[in-house]
Amino acid sequence: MEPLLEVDSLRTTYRRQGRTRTAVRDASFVVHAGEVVGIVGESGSGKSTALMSVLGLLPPNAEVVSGRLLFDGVDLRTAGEAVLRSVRGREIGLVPQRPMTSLSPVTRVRRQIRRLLRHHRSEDPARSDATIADLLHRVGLGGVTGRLDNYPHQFSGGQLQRLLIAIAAVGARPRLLFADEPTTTLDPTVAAQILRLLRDLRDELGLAIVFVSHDLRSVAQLCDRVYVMYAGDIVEEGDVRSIFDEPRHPYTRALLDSIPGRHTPLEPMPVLAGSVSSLPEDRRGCSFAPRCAIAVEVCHENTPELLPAAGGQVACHRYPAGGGTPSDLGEDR
Amino acid sequence: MSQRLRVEGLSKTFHGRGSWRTGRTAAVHAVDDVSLTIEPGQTLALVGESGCGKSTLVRTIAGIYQASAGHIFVGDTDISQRRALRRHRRAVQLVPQNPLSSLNRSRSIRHALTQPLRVHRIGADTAEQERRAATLLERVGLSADYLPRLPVGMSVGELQRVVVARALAIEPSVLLLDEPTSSVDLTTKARIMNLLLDVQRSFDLTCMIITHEIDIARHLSHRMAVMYLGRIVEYGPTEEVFNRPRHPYTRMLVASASASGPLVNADAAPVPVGEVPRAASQVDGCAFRPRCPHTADVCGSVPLLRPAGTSQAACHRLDEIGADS
Ligand SMILES: Nc1ncnc2c1ncn2[C@@H]1O[C@H](COP(=O)(O)OP(=O)(O)OP(=O)(O)O)[C@@H](O)[C@H]1O
Ligand SMILES: Nc1ncnc2c1ncn2[C@@H]1O[C@H](COP(=O)(O)OP(=O)(O)OP(=O)(O)O)[C@@H](O)[C@H]1O
Ligand code: SF4
Ligand SMILES: [Mg+2]
Ligand SMILES: [Mg+2]
Repeated sequence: MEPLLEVDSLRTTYRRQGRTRTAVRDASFVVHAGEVVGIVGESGSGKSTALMSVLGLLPPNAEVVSGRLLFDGVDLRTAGEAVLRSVRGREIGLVPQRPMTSLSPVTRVRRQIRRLLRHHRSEDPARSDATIADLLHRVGLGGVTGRLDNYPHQFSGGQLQRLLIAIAAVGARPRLLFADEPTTTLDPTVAAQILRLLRDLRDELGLAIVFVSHDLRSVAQLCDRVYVMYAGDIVEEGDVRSIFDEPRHPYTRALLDSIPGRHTPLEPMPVLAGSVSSLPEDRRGCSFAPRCAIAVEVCHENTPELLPAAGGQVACHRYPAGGGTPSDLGEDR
Repeated sequence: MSQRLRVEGLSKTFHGRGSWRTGRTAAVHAVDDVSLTIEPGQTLALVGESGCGKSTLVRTIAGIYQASAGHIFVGDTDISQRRALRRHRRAVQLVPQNPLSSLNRSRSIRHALTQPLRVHRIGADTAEQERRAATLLERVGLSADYLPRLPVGMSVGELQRVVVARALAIEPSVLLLDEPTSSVDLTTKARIMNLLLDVQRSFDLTCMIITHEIDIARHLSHRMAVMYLGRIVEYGPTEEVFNRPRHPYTRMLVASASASGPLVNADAAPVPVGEVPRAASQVDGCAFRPRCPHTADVCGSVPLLRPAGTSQAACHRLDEIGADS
């Protein structure tokens, strides 16, 4: 079956003070109808940029340099603004990473919800109050229906987040939802409720979801398939079990080793040495090589390709021969 | 020098705009009669539901909001008095919840880090202030390369580290951190956690950390307070709260975030019951009642914190429910 979304060799750059930096480096990923796909990875690895590239919502200093962005067979990169506008929100819903910045601070919340719903589904204004109440209920916000004439700053971050999820995922009835860190600002009991909501939407309506998160527990619970990004590259892809039970890329292993519940309280945790931001733009070799404990010469010379591996794909010169364990990875304590 | 932070009967009420139809204004009791003590050099983790008042509590302690009632002591000084604020503002620093909105978007990271130094006259000259800024960046896992950059081009994880560095710039004795590790990747989280453990020890800080991640609360804190609808419902040594949660809400929290067991286990995903509450509501009696599986007639009155083992919990039915072990 044709994928619903097929991103092929996407490269996106930002210009910053006269220099160009690549944020997404020839990344390819697919999402099938009704599938929940996770994207995890180091902060700054290009997850949000990849999603925003698809929706044509990048800031002015960014550029999609190459790649195809096929949604339902149409290349969104070349389709033009009119097509994008009809896709955004209606076909592909977005829960943005920073909820505060996507709501106007000076407009009452009720008006903003109405405006968004009208844009998505030419909603009948007479019905909209009932619709809104219903939406809020689905995300556990029934309690604030009486306070909708307040301004956004009078709601907590988690309340706004759920409000935006309600609009993007339920109100607009899209076919694909981009959820960028939808649960990370929520406490576990509410996050569990949101995960349940997303799962129900997938089961009931066949909604496909791209779920970007640093919360590996949520990813493990919700996703069918997971992509792991590092410094603009996709370094591993696999079904959720192979990613969590048999991670192959050294970065994926380091990531799983950073889960706090697995270490002694009040003692330093193992951390990955170095930082991603020091990579030069014209680097050769594997992006992870400078921080990788099992890197060998070839890792610094040639960029590893994403190659098939049991249950997925992995981009590592030392797979399958390397086979290092998480404790081999660089630790600076 | 770290100092004891003591909060006594602290309340903060917002008088928001109510429904235009009824014309009633809705008062939000965001923080309701909270008392807490953090011993010098210790860390208290504050966990609780979204919207339960955690940010409001630390913002009130940091002097951003004027308390509606109650007292805040740093050492022996009551900083909740308007007059005392300026002199003691420096002792209590808050790392706010949303890093981007707390930084001036059009000014460089250099500016963000040297501004507090200038305000508090720390560092002999500009060059030294800049050196301090660079050192701080390195301590939070960034580098001096970031000094000329603007917040807008940076990822959330990078910004989090900048705001932690900025709060540390003027060497406070009490550090309040509002979700310092939310929205960053795990490897960065591990770094920030190590950073917090490290600065807390080396700067001898008294810390309060808000987090909704119970793993992180456990890893970083000596004591834990669980907040629900503006009130503290459980309070005790971290291991005790984690291993023997008493309040029904704490049990739910601990169960839904349990660190043990396989990660991939879709069916084990806990399904929380009931409606998420509203701070403005007038729930009669225990605020947790609408979601509580153990509720009984007695829950019609407000439960107060009372001793339970080495913790305290605010629930009428502690004895009936027993403790998890
Ligand atoms: N508006 C911008 N101008 C310049 N650079 C940018 C801009 N937005 C992002 N970047 C850079 O592009 C890279 C990718 O950022 P992006 O926000 O996509 O990462 P991310 O994986 O979503 O990170 P996080 O997990 O922290 O949200 C980062 O190095 C970031 O600093
Ligand atoms: N300035 C304000 N005016 C009116 N109500 C407010 C204001 N700030 C917060 N509130 C309300 O007070 C309650 C507590 O909000 P607060 O931001 O302290 O919650 P929180 O526990 O930090 O939530 P989160 O985990 O989502 O950040 C919420 O119901 C919120 O809507
Ligand atoms: S007081 Fe009653 S309603 Fe409240 S938590 Fe305890 S048992 Fe549940
Ligand atoms: Mg992002
Ligand atoms: Mg908050």
